[in-house]
Amino acid sequence: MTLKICCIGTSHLGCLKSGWETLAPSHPEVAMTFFGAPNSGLTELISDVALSDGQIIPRTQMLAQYFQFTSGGHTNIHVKDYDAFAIIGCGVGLTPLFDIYQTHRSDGMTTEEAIFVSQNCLLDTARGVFLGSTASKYSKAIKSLTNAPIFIIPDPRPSIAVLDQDGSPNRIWDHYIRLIKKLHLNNDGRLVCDLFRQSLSALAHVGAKVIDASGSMVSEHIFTPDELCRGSVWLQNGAYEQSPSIDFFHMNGQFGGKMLTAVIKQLPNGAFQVENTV
Amino acid sequence: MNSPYQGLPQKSFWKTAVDEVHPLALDELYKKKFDIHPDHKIATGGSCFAQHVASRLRTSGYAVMDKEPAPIGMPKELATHYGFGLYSARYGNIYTAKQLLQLSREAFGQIRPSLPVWTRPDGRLVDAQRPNIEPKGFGTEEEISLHRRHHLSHVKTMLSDMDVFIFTLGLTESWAHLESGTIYPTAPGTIASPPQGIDVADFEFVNFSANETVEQFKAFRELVQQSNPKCKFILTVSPVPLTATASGQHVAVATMYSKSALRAAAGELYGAFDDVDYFPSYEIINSPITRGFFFDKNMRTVSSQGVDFVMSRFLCEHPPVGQQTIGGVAAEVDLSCEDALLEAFS
Repeated sequence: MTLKICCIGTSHLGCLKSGWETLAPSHPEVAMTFFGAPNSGLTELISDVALSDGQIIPRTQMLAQYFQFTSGGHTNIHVKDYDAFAIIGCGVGLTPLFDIYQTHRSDGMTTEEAIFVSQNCLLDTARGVFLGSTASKYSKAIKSLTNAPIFIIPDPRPSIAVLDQDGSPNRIWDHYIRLIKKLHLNNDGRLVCDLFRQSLSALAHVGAKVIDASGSMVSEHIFTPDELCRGSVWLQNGAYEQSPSIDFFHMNGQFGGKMLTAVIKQLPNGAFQVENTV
Repeated sequence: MNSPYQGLPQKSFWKTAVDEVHPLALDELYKKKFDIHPDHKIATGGSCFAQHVASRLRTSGYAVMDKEPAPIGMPKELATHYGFGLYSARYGNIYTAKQLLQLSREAFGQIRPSLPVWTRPDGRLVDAQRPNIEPKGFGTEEEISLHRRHHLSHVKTMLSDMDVFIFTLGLTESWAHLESGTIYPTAPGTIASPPQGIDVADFEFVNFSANETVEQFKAFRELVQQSNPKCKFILTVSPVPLTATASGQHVAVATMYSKSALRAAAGELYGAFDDVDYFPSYEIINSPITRGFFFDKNMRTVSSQGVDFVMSRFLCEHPPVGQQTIGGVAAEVDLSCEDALLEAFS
């Protein structure tokens, strides 16, 4: 019996797709279908969907085109066609915690100029962000139609190589590189990572299980080892492409393969365990 | 000999200003005493109604200060529960002029209010001066002390930097610790209780007079202007009746006393100082001129249309900055009101 897995994601779908190309021969029992679209600046194209008649339907032509391309011909996601779902990124990741860190801190963090708030405040903020995310929205939509397991793979941590960068010609990456370097310099990585991991539990409320990278896939709490970033693949410009050499935020097929392996390991039993990670 | 009333403008006569005018067309209710410039830093504080003022000024393009904004991405409803975005710092509701004076003195390091930590029924601790800003409470007194220290630094900065302070006088009734005179925004036992060994009998119910309110606000003004001489003030009286009274009188009677005292105090301050203006939100909502139709069914909460009408009168004199237009229904503001919690005791 073929296990049909639906992967949904943003530009980070690239690493899963790339990973699957290597993995697929060793998993003949699995059929993987991808649906994705990159963000356009800070706009999430993939969020513009409607749920109708058991299908997740793109509401823009661009998204429909991306769905058609990434899935190999389907415009809509027929939810009941799949035995499991994996959603990558879509608002779940360390980025919201980095955003919070810009202006706020709790006890133990060292950004003196930041506004001092309780850890509960930061935790509740992160939980709120994740519950309001596109990943959460997809989860709820899927859950309303099927009991198939849903896994959320957070946005990858940035490559540790960002620490060697002075900045980036890409405005958004430049902002985060500087912020992350400051965070690292302040030795606040562990605290931020702890907050992140604690806040992921909120996604259980939308019926999803989070599969976060850990062990050898994480470096100094908030980074990914650079070897999992080099040769990164992203979904962009209507295709899967090698992402630019200045991109330290997208990962390669090796990363994607490891995450998909973790997803497959959860199946076909699909029994949820608390924070099972790679 | 001509009467001194001869030649007065139409707004001076009930017949021409009210009787012959549609209530929504009432004009010249408010004439500003001074301008608010687009680059003026506006700070706000007061009782629940003041939250509407802050919100509407922000959407009208004014530079309303927020020294303790919510973390980026925090959902709006959650932010309200944590006391973010209600006023210019995270002090929660300030119901009386005495409470305002006390907070300011504390911010400038002049006093230290007594019994700073109270305990909730669930065992969690609260900052007694702002019991509602941490939904899950605090674990230790040290935490509260640390958080309060940071908060007060922001309050001090706010008081020192603001160009205009808009304060909504809400109540005259309050509760004071007998021994120290410290005022609290909620009565002991409402949300939380003072430390063990301290009884309700250690507190007294106080109902400030107009004169006391005047003196308290004068002291506040003087304190602020020591470090911020350019600061101006706009007073308004909350039109929202009391949720409950501990005065022994009928709540409608107690409300009238409270609002009358506050209105008289505001009027006296308006007359005494060039830098104190008065905006008649109380009259617009409460007086017979608007027939009470800006209240919700409970005759206590002000409808969003009422808030909108009140603010439209304000914005007639202080026009929105940029392309914003006057009018339209005010965005629903999720108010945070300890005062309203007293209803649970009814």
